[in-house]
Amino acid sequence: MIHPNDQNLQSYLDDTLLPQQKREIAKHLGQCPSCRQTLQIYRSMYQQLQEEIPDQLSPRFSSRVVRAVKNDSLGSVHMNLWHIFMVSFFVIVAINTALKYYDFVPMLTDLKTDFQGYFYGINNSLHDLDGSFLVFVQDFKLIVSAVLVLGLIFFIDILFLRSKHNPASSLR
Amino acid sequence: MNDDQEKQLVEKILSGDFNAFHVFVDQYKRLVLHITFRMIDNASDREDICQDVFVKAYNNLNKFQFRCKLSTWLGRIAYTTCLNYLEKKRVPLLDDFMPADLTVDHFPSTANEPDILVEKQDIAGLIQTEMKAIPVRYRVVLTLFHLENKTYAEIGDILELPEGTVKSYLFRARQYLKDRLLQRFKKEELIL
Ligand SMILES: [Zn+2]
Repeated sequence: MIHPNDQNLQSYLDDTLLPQQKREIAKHLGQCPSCRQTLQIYRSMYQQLQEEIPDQLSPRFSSRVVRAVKNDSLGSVHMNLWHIFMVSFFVIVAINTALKYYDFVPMLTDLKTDFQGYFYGINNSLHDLDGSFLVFVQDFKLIVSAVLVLGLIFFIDILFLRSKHNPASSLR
Repeated sequence: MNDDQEKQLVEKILSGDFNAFHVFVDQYKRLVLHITFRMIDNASDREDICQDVFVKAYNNLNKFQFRCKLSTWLGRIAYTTCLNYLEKKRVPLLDDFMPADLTVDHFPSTANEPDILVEKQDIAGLIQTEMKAIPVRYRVVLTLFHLENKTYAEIGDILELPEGTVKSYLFRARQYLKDRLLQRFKKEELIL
């Protein structure tokens, strides 16, 4: 009598055999107490393997994950703001430096005249705009300092977010 | 969850609906738990790793192409996250474990004298203990097949292994467990 091997018995229980093989093994099992016993052992083991893993996640697990993800995406919003800020900061610094070394006043005056014509055409109440470009240039240093302060605030903010989101502390 | 429901859920999550993400976590936490708890023996790290898996899934959900089931994709994230953890902790993965090595002689016996009275609980306990002695890939295959009712193909997709390898891992792991049980218990005791 040729006994089916362990693999065949397992496949028999998994129900992954071809119909012909299945019939042959069923027939053999009918005549062989030893193989029947082995099959029974596998069957008991299968039952055990289907038992749930005893350890469970804490009941608030899902809410905790959602909170972590929310914090993370808030963090990414901050990062985006940070990027926008950095780009505009460098553009402003570049313009400021350029203004220091080149005389843009004639060009700006031309620009002012154009704008004046344009705005006067639309609304006379926009008188105040006259000369605003030059004022803007004069106040540049003030604006840059303000931007620097803003940058510092953002930087601290980012450092804070970083430490809050480092895996060791956020996963607790 | 069918394909359409999966698609709807993913779209909702991508549009920023955190309630939909909550549903997603509830739906799949069992799968992630099964993979993680089988691969990671350190109880204090497991839940954090489960959370990590879901955060990764959230951040990469826009890359999910619906080429496989959502559960398969998530299972793969869970599996690779656990592998990375084990590598970082320098836990030996026993990957160079040759097929023939998965025999009883290569493992120290956890029990010596057979008890007179055998409870069902003892057998379950022995299986849980022996599970820790077999390589992680084998454990995951066993768990996905028996607890999650996954097909060979799905398990192969999660572990990125050919179907044939999945099958042989499954057979060898179960045969090993059976041999271990027979070392510890009498045949009659094992038939519940
Ligand atoms: Zn036989």
